[in-house]
Amino acid sequence: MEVMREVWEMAAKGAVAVLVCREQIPCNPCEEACRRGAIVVGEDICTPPRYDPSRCDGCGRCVAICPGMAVVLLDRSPGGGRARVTLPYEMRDAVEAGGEAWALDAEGVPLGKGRIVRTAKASRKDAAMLVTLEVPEEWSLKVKGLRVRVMSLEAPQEAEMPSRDEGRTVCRCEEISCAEAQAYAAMGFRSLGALRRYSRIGLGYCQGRFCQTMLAGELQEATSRTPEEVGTFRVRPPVRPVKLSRLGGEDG
Amino acid sequence: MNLRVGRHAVLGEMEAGRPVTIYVDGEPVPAREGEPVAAALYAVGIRTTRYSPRSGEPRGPFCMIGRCTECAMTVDGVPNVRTCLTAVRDGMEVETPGRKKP
Ligand code: SF4
Ligand code: SF4
Ligand code: FES
Repeated sequence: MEVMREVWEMAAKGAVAVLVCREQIPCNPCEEACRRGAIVVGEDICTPPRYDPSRCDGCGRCVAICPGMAVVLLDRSPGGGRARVTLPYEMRDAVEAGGEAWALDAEGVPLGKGRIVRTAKASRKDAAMLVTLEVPEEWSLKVKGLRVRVMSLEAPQEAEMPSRDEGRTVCRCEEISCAEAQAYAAMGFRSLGALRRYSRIGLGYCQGRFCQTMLAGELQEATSRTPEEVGTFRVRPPVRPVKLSRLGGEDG
Repeated sequence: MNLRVGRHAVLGEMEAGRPVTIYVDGEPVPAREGEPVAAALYAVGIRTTRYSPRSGEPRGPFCMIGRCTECAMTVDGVPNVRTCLTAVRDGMEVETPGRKKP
């Protein structure tokens, strides 16, 4: 808890990383990302990272790179009982500075609404965004996630979705119809990647080789965007389902 | 009508193999050795290869070239086998995965 107190005090002057990573998992990109040596995992990659806030300059590189969303930035310098929390966010189509978003705690439970004060692309390679939310200081330390307009708490989002039987199927594995895909486009998802992360389109057994082209066409039409803007699914190996025994050198 | 595959888009020319028996959900089904399992099922009028885990709707072979995965069944205990690309062997046990919508 000492570290947390130090973080809290440093945040009064400007952005500083809040790192909560307790699991003993083989993971260390945060250590690589930090150019100031504030995060150390060490030789045994399963050790949870040790973090020294006094070295942190609030650059946000660790926030963007952590696959576990275990790091956010806290900035209490605006004062007046407000604090700014910078979070990683992958649905980059749906966030805009000036808009509102729900701040969520580590369990995904909404804490309250925040104002989006800044959005920035984390890096050229990565799809992740860094989104800065302004929220009341008193619960700012609990903020670990955010939710944009795609899910209004007042009206469950299922109610807005067309029935699955409507029209053609786009994604056969996850059973998503054309009408459903268009509804996602209307919610603000403008790229194939974001749509996939949100709806599971293209994440089924066929890994998008069937739905991708159709879906790209639908999205282009629904959002008046070019094929380049709509993009493609990101392909990661193995492209086909492969038995682990094969990878392990045994004959599967 | 002959519903067997003569020339397959991926597997090429299909020779008429010797008559064998495969078991689909325990029921014997006549088939030709070496033909795609999905083709053998098609030839005897079986159109459902799996039930969708999301809606429970029946699904059947769609692309027949190994891309759509709609024909994936459990073959000799191995799940998610694309039957349109899998050759019939005598005595093969094929199961229809998933459950029908109630
Ligand atoms: S915000 Fe930047 S300086 Fe601070 S711990 Fe993360 S990577 Fe290091
Ligand atoms: S990258 Fe994230 S999950 Fe991985 S060790 Fe660092 S803080 Fe933990
Ligand atoms: S029918 Fe499409 S993968 Fe077999």
